[in-house]
Amino acid sequence: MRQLLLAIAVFLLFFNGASVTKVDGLKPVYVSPEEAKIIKSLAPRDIENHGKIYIKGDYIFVGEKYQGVHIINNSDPRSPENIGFLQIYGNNDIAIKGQTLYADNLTDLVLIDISDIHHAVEIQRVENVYEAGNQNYPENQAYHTYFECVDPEKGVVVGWVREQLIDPKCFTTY
Amino acid sequence: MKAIYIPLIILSVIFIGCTKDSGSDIGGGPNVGGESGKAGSMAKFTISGDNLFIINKHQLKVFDISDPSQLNHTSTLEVNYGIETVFSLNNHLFIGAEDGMYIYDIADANNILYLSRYEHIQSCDPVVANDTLAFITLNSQSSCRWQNGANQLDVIDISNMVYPQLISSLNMQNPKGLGIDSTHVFVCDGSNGVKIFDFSNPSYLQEISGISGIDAYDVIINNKRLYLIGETGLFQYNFENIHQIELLSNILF
Repeated sequence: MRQLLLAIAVFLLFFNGASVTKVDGLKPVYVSPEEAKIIKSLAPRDIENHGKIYIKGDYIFVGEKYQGVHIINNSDPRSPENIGFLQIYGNNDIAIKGQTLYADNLTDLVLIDISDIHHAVEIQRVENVYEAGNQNYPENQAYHTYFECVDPEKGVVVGWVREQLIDPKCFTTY
Repeated sequence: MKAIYIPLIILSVIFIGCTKDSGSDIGGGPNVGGESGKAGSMAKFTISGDNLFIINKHQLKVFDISDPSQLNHTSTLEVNYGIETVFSLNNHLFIGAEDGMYIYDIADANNILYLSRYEHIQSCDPVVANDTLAFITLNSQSSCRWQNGANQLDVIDISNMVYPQLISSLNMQNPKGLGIDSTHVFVCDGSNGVKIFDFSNPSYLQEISGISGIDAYDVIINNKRLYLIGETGLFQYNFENIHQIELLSNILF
């Protein structure tokens, strides 16, 4: 009898656990609208969501999708070194001429002086060069990918991270 | 005599010391360099002379960047279909768009001239070119292709920029970014790594070398160096001997 009760208890526990829908999905990463437009030099970080590459002089720049660019000191090609990160939210592309780096920063095009590679300085911002990007759902995902619905009150979406989501209400329909 | 040499030796030691120490300073160590840099083939920005060209879905925007601290919007060109990549060479601009490759004459940035469109079905793939040939990869997995099964590398004669003509096509498995030097085209072919072809005879590309074991998606070719970005890292190679490509270093992701 006792064993039967235990078995039922275990079964109920299991069943109860299974009724909470936890699925693999994407969660928006928010920053405040002010922070989204701040360009700044940061300490080197790991390359995770790698984007495009660009070479200039002794440097290699590796995009971190929608976050900014990693700066690699390549003066010794046998031993390149990740020396810093340039925060540019919403970024996909850069180009450099002389000491000026041109980059897309969400809807804006920004000019950044990189003559001191560790202390980049924004020198000009041209607003609304780009149409406002999609803020509502993650792009380039498989059909019916679950994601946490976007709440614009929380800020600007600057990326998505994969997480276990509890009972998500949104999913991709494209 | 000795008295002259000793200060010289000391001076040279100091000099060597200086160049070594100033590792993070632009003045002595790594250098950003003077002119513009070089992008991979997936770029949506390109600099040609004093002009920056950027693409935004259906638009090509041109900015005058002759003043390094201030840019000026010169013009905007509307293109019918979504643009994916842009590449410039001398006075020409090559655009990989959903409905083909567009060629523009950009000698006068205030008066950009449309030259031609090479129609290959639904492509928005990267393009690179030299004075007479353009190379495009077509990928069936591409997000802007609706129903085309082609995975190939197209070689196009652009010696007459107004009348581009297909010379040859090569089947690939999962082609992505690409780059060229004077005689070779380097094609990222997904999990097959990089395939290297000699295009001395553009109607018959010869596969002569390659890099395997890397899921490759874009390359930059510069002075016998190959910069490769793949799913697992950033890799640098020396290809002075094309048959014996030497891995210089990698930064793994």
